[in-house]
Amino acid sequence: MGGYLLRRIGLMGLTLVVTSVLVFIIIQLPPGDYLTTYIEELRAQGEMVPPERIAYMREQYGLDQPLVMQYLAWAGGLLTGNLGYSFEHSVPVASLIGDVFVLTILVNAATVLFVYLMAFPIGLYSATHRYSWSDYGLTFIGFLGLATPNFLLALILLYLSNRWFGTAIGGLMDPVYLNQPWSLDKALSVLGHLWVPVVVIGTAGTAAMIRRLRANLLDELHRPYVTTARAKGVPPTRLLLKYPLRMALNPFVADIGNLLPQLVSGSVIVSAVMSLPTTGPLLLRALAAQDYYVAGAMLMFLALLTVAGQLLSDVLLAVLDPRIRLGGGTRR
Amino acid sequence: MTQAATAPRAAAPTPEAPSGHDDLLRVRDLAIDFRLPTGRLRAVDGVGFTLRRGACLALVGESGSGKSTIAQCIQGILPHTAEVVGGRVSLAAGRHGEPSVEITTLGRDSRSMLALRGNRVATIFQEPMTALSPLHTIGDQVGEPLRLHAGLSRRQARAAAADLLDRVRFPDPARAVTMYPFELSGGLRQRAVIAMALAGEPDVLIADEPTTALDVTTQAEILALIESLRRDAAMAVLLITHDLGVVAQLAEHMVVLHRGRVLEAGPVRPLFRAPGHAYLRALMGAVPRLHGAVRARLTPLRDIRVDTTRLGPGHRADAAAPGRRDDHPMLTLDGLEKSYPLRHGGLFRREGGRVHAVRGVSLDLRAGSCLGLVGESGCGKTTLMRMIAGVLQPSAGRVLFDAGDGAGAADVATMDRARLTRYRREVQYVFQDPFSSLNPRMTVREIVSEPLLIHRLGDARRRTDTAAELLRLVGLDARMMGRYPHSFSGGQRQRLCIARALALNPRLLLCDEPVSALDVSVQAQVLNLLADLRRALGLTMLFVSHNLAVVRHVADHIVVMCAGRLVEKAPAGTLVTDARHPYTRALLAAVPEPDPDWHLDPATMAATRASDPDGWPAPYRPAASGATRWSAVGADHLVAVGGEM
Repeated sequence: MGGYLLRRIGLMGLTLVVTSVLVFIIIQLPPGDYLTTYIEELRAQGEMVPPERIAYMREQYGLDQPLVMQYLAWAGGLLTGNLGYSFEHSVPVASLIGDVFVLTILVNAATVLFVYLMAFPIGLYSATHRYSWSDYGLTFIGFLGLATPNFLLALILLYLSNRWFGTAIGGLMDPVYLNQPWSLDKALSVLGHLWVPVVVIGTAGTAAMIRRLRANLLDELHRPYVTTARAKGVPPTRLLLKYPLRMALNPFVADIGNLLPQLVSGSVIVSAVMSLPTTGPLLLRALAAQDYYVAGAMLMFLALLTVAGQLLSDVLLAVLDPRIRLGGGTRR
Repeated sequence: MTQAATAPRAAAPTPEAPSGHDDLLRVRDLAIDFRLPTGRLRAVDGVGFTLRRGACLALVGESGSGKSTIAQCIQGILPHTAEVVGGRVSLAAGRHGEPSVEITTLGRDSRSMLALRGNRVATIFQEPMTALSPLHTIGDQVGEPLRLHAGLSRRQARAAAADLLDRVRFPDPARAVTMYPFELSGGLRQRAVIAMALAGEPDVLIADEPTTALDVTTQAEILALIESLRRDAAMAVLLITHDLGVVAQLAEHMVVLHRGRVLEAGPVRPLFRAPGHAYLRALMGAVPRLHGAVRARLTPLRDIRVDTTRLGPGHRADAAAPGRRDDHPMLTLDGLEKSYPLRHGGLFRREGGRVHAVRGVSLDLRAGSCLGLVGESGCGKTTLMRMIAGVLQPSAGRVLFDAGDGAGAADVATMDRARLTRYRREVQYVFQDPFSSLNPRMTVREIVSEPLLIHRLGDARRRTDTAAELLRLVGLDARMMGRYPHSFSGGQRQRLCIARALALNPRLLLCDEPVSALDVSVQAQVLNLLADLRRALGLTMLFVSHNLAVVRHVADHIVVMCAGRLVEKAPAGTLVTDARHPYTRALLAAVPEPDPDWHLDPATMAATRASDPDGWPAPYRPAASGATRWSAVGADHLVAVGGEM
């Protein structure tokens, strides 16, 4: 297990290096750089930019260096925690995206929690009461959830929450707390606003997970080992949780790997509709403005979350399932 | 002693038994219905019998006879669609002072029912591969009844589980409790299932087809184990099986079930000697036997008529083919080997040693003959078959095939594309499991005509006609062509598989355990069909099985395979009566004969050791290099001894 972990972490590092090269190449691909975009903008406003100033800025930003040197400087910065500098906002990238990341992760972690907490009891119930009216009802609601476009749901919920609870429309907190330091009131305001995006983003996922859990469980419920356990006199609830549910869990654990990057990149449309201060809109803008270091840092973070997520789910799978943990050594 | 009784409306060969003090489990007039979308189906209809303390009673019948439903009812684990509509099941007071109970009056998952299951009534299930949860340790699962019923802690239950595993003669029980089912062989898993059933010291042990999924030598060990445990622990055993050999070995009384009714019941010995009911006589006639004269045909319960009269021109018997020599060697295996590298997982795979699945196999198969290949699971017989079919590439050696068309023998591995395509038409495969070898989403027409489609033979209409002919050939109704495989029984499906294999008019049929997933009566049907087809179509067959009695019935010659090697080769009759190799002898001794006077030799407990080449005595032990060579011991009778060629 230890050797396996080491090997996997080594592979992770290798993957990240390759990814960073790719990310750097991709954000350099469009013609021109941040300065040409910037100068275009100034020219459009009728301002003339003296060539000496352009040369000075180019040197300042290191844009006159060969690409390899630019890459090395950037990658070196990443390693030492220096994420670079945002051309557009004239602040270090770290301070620009720090707050956004915290809020993004908060929203999406709450969503994941919501999905699991809703989907598991419903899925269990649905599978054990198959073809009953309650199963049909839950299935119907589930399909509704799958079929409703979530930006539509977002608009409806925003309207309702404003009518009934008087919550301000859009955003993750009351406007008065924007750009304020964190305080208890601010945190409470965030919690008050949080449920709408969580429900909006989570509904489709919940519905999908209910369907999957139900299908997985139905496959397992009639397996011989369940009959064996029943013949041993295991009470029904304990039986369900100990045997078939354990078996049905594997796909969900394997899914964690995909969940982590979604925490950051997911829900762009909903964020735009609800004007959530999350990473989706920010990444979009950074890419459009050729704000290299912001885009690069965010893409690298996504890559890190992806590989870390895969590692986490593989390790969890090995912990949960002895066939995976021991299989490699005993078979042939 | 046990007395079996039947409901008044069934033909009752024995009178209603007086209820005695010794009666442990009494079933009276039991009737169980299944609620199906199409209506009610009576699965059990007025069944009655009595199991006495310490006795062994067998419920005998084919699949669908209701025997497993009765067992489920006794444990209260009937499926939700089943309903007890009449009769009683009562369990007398237990050894440890438990009161007597009427099982049929208890709620499905009521407290008293839960207290009964796994504690007073325990079950050994059929499939040791799937009856255990793959995610929980053996110790956890074996000790679970004790945690539930005796209130033991996790640690205590684990210690107790080790003791139980020791009782069922598990090697190294202390280590076994920490292992997972997939780390154990089938036989060991079945021991674990038995240990689990013993945990609650049950009054009634239900053995539901306890050895059907096992190899014959493992079966012998498990049967001996159940027998000895029954004597030591004074448990009553309710044996559920379709295998009359197992009945003869274990049971004192038997109840023969057919479509939910009792046809015949009584002590085993007289019933075997003089079966009263035609059904039991038929069941006995359907069993292939190891000893005694070989019968030309088995007598299946429902014989099928093979219709070879209307064979199209594409299906003429090979004898009519021009230029065909009579008994040329059709298939020659020359030093065939298959080995796999031992892998260490991970990024940088290092190669360790190699595992030999098949080593140095040389064989001749004459045209028109049937060669039986016998061996236990894992001996390499399926690997060998796959290499012959050209699906696996041998690591060394050659597979030579001579169609008898004058072109001479060709090596399968070096055939060009066109020749290989022709080879694939000439050699066809019948698989073991008729349930998973048919695509459930294809109709019978599509399944049977697919080989023709692949080889672009005929137009759509011709293919449909051929499919109809093929179905008639295997005794199925051509009107069934629009149906899907799920609406067929196991035996019918295997006939479909055979029809598919015959679609291309092959010369050589490779049968890989074609009857081991089937009931005895259906098995006889399929074996007869294969024999008829072989005669009518002049087929050459290679028939693989772990059941010596079956192989002896169908084959002219038998080769025995063990640990990737061939160990003995002889004409079928000679092999059974004059086996020389220790492994062959162990195999022969392990076959339970359907004869209550013939008992398994306890020495067969050594059978698994006989499958380890290093344990063979002097002349038979392979040389240090692992090599063996043939030594002739009689006419046409070869046995492998240690030493280089």
